[in-house]
Amino acid sequence: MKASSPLILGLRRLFSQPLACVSLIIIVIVVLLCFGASLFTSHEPETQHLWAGALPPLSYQAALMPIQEAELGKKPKLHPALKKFLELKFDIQKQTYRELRVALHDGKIHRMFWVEGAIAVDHLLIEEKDIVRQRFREGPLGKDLPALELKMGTFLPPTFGPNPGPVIFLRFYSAHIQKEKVSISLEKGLVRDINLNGKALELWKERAENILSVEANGKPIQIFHLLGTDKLGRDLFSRILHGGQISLMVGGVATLVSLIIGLFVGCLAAVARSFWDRFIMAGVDVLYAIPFMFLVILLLSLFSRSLLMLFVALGAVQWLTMSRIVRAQVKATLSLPYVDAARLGGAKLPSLLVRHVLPNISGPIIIYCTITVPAVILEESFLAFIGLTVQFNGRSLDSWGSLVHQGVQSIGSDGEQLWILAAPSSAMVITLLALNFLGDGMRDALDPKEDHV
Amino acid sequence: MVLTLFCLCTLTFFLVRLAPGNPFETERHLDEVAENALNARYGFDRSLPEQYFLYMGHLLQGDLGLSTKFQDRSINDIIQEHLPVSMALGALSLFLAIIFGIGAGILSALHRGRGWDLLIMALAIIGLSLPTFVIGPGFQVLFGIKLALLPLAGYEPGLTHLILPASTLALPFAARIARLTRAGLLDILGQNYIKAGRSRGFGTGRLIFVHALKGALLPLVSYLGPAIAGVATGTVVVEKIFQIPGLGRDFIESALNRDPFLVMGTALVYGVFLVFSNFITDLLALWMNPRLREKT
Repeated sequence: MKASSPLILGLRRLFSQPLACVSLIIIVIVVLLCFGASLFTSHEPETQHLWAGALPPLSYQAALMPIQEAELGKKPKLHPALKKFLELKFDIQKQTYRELRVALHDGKIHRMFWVEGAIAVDHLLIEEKDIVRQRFREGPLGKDLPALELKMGTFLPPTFGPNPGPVIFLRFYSAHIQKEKVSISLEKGLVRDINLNGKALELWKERAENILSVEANGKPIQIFHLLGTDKLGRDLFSRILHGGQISLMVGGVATLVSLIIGLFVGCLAAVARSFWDRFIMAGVDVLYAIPFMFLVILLLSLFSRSLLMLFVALGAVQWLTMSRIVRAQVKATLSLPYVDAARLGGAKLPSLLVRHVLPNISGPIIIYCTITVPAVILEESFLAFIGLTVQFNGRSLDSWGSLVHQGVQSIGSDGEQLWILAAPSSAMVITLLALNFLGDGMRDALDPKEDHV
Repeated sequence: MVLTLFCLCTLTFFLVRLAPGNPFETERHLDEVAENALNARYGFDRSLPEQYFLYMGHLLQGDLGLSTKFQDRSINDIIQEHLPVSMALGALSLFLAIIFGIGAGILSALHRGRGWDLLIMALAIIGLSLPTFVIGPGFQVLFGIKLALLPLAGYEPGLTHLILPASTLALPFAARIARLTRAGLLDILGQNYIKAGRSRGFGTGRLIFVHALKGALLPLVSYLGPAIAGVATGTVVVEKIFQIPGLGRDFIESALNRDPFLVMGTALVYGVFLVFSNFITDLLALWMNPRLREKT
């Protein structure tokens, strides 16, 4: 049988556990997806498409900008995705509509009027054939409404949900639908020709919500949202990937910080004289007693919220356990005969530690690191959730925690927009589960002792 | 312990007072007279050491100062009103965590390697990985919206408004306690005195509850200190999710609003509470484990 180092043996044992392998694969996929985000999605995480807010997962949107505008001989105002094409064709479907505003008082209809011209109504019968959509105050059109009757002084029909808010907007679409085809051709970035239903035009303007589809150079262009969009119409998939970058980076770097401090302090305590050893470890014990999360919250909310601060704050919490583990391991290893042999061979203390002791205790340290990464990710998202997001160049960087927070804010009273909460939560939970399972697997594989808590 | 508390007060005072920003900063610019009057009222016109001694003096008399945000209220008032809410939440979740954690741990140790054990341990690792702020909204959607069994958020005195937040908070700790109980129990059950008991025909129930559990719970007692600290931190998030007017919300909001005395007050209450609970769990551990007593 071939001789192998404990590390190789451990890795072999790790790969024989299916759960740990699956976790490792998931982690690799998540890391690749997050850090190669621009390869997997063309959406910018911060670009808002207000008219396409809260789209469910797997949906397409053809509308690319609030208003598309083109004027002969000038640069067109189009979505950036369209600018590189020479021939553009828009299919447009317009419906004329009127908007009704309904004000409620104690749940009863208090006032109703048509927005255009502010004409008051006191009784309105909506029949099956009318297309009526509820419009949310700041946002997209909601669901179609069935036949219903609105009367002054009565309660709102139950279709509107338990608490629709003090003011409701309703849009009444007429059955008459107007269809248009517009084609625009460009030359050297300038508009050469505008054609509406076969007639030449000088100026064309259209609202995004009326655009059904766009064709560029003969190919249809559609924007696909894998996980839908959030309330402001930002692509959720892209936001999750970019948020994951922050979360994973914080997890990795803070673990590194804690590893470095912990190694240093632990080794120092292990090789120091007994008085200093006790002094250092007593200091660690005292620090343990301080409720660190509160200190971190104070530091982050009162002082700057830079990435550096976050790393320092989170790393500072985590190094305590690391230093204890390192100290115990180094102490135990230093008393082994092979270390004595190396010492007799003339090895100095630093090289003794680095060349002979540290490689031997790398197992427990790696195990603790894999446990620390998810813990730090959890802590960072905890902070982001309560509003302490990292600030960079004056804007806040959204991590998974703040995405979950935004999801919580937008589920609404009937849980209709659940995916805005569910998508980032599941990304985070899957990653954390995988990291924890991997940590468990590592411990089983690398730690010679059998029983674990 | 007195020294720890003193350090805590001093640290929070200087941290809060040295932080940039001004509690009276608003969108409207205050005129100088008003600002001077406000500064004089809260003692910000004195030098920092003077402020420190003044604050510590008042603290010894149990006076935590005035809020700069809610201008007619003293910190003592606010804390008196909100602390019981947070305490009830924390106590209930700790209770749930211990009951369910130990129960699940015993169940899973008795069925080692079989269905129940695997199920409980899988649930435990999921419970450990799920952050509170994912469980909370999940519970809200499931029990508050889809099933409409329990109130979604808000607080009124009574159990119904506390069940969801408390179980949200309890879940990760219950998971950890279940793992600790299982490991401790398996350790003890393999020992000779249990075998001796079994050979004399003691029932499983008697063996577990009379003989094994006390020894198995030792690691649990030392986990109680960190668990209490964790629950205290957790109340901050849970209060935010479920819109509960507790101390945790005061803490976060006052830190973000720059309400110096309220930050110091709430931080101190948490600090004092944690130091005391650590002290008590240490005593408990000493009482339960005679071996520790010999060492010290």
